[in-house]
Amino acid sequence: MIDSSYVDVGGTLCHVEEAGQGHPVLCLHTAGQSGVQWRHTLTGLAALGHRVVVPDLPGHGRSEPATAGPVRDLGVYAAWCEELIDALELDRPFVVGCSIGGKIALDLAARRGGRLAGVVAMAAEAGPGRVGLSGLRRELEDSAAPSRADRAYLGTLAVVGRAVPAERARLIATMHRREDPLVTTADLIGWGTHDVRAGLAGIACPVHLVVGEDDLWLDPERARDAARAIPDARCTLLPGIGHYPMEEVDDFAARLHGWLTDLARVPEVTP
Amino acid sequence: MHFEDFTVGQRSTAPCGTVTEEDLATFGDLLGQVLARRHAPPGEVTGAQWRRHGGLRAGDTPRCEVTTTRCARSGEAALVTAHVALRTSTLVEEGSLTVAVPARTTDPVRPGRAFGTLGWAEALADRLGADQAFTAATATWDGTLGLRCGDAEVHLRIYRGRIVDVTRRTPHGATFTVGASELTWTDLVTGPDGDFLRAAMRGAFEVTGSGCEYLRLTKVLDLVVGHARALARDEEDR
Repeated sequence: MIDSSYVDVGGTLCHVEEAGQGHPVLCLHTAGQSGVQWRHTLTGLAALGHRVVVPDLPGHGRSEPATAGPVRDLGVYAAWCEELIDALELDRPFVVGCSIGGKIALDLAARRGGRLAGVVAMAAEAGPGRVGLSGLRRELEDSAAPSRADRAYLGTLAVVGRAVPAERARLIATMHRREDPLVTTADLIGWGTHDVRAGLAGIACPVHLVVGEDDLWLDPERARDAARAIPDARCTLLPGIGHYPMEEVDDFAARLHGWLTDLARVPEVTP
Repeated sequence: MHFEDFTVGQRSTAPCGTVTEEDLATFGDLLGQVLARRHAPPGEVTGAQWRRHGGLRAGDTPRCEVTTTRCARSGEAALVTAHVALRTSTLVEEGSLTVAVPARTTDPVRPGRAFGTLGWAEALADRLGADQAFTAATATWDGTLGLRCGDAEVHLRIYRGRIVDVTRRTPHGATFTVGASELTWTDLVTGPDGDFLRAAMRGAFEVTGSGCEYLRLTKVLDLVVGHARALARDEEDR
């Protein structure tokens, strides 16, 4: 059973899907995408005893746009997530995010780690990501940039891991083609500018960084750097997986359940 | 070995033994090239490029990876170019060697793996012209696509879905050109990973000319690489 609802967060209506009972797990999607990326995890993780909460960030999926337009600062999303956590009364939730969602999860760990059970940050580094910011800012002016759909589709295929069957890779890429180019571009500017490195040493919850071996969006060493800077954090490299583990890994819910169980065993973190 | 025994895309790997202090004293900074020469195709070296990424040290046990990247004739000469990489746990030195080798025949080089040559581009254009996906993707395009492999560049003049000319250089030049090393083309066209965008995202290709038109032809470039791979495969099957 999946509950779908709209929650007023920051003056806009946010679409949230929930399933299951148990310890809350907040799942954050990637740039330009929506909670649909967690559709299999949602029910799978709920069946394993979690209350799984999957929002569409402002301007994504079925959520209303952010009041100030497309968001270029991932810190704005992190503050929005804090408000959502409070609005839904999620008690010490786990936060799991991928790509910009992973960076937002790290930001939340730095902001309010003491009130989180733990964070799984996938496909994310703590410093600014590698993107061409001037080109992205130009695309905000010229959102009908050439062959956007082809670039979204083929660009997604290029960063799906080699272990993923071709048919599933094409499905992932086809679904990623559903986007608002302005929102995606703004998200990517956030990816290229957001920097939480200064806050890593003070993180007060257990953190697990996860990076795919075939992820061209980041150097695994940058994720390891972040893990080294966070007290008691760990880092996992996924062979044959790219930028979207929750869509690429077979039975990802079980894998995530294992990671969350491990995080719950970590003694209280003292930054 | 003879010229006819070489094919672009051939790969081999061999251990180079242990680097000693004596090796370094004898050959100094040239040691990597000496090791490469032992594993490259035998014959008179007519051209070489070399780059050191840190270089070799005593105690290293590098392995040598050799990839054939070009088979060409130049007048009477039959030339084979190989990319040679020396690796320990990382890439320590690499370069390319062009060697004149004996030939059994004077037959022309088959075009399917002669990237950047006119013959290759003409064979590629034949395939693209017969592909409805290509004609649909370029149905409103009027421009010139440049493809460069190493120093070899060729232009496809495209007008409303048709390739109307294949030439070394169109009068107005290319609208944009995508270029890469011989090794990159060889890996992309004959290796297991034929994803153009993945190679581009890794920075293996450089683009000159109109960046906007390059983006516009994203799908077309994917098709070009797909047909280049099919062309190379077909030739291998014959």
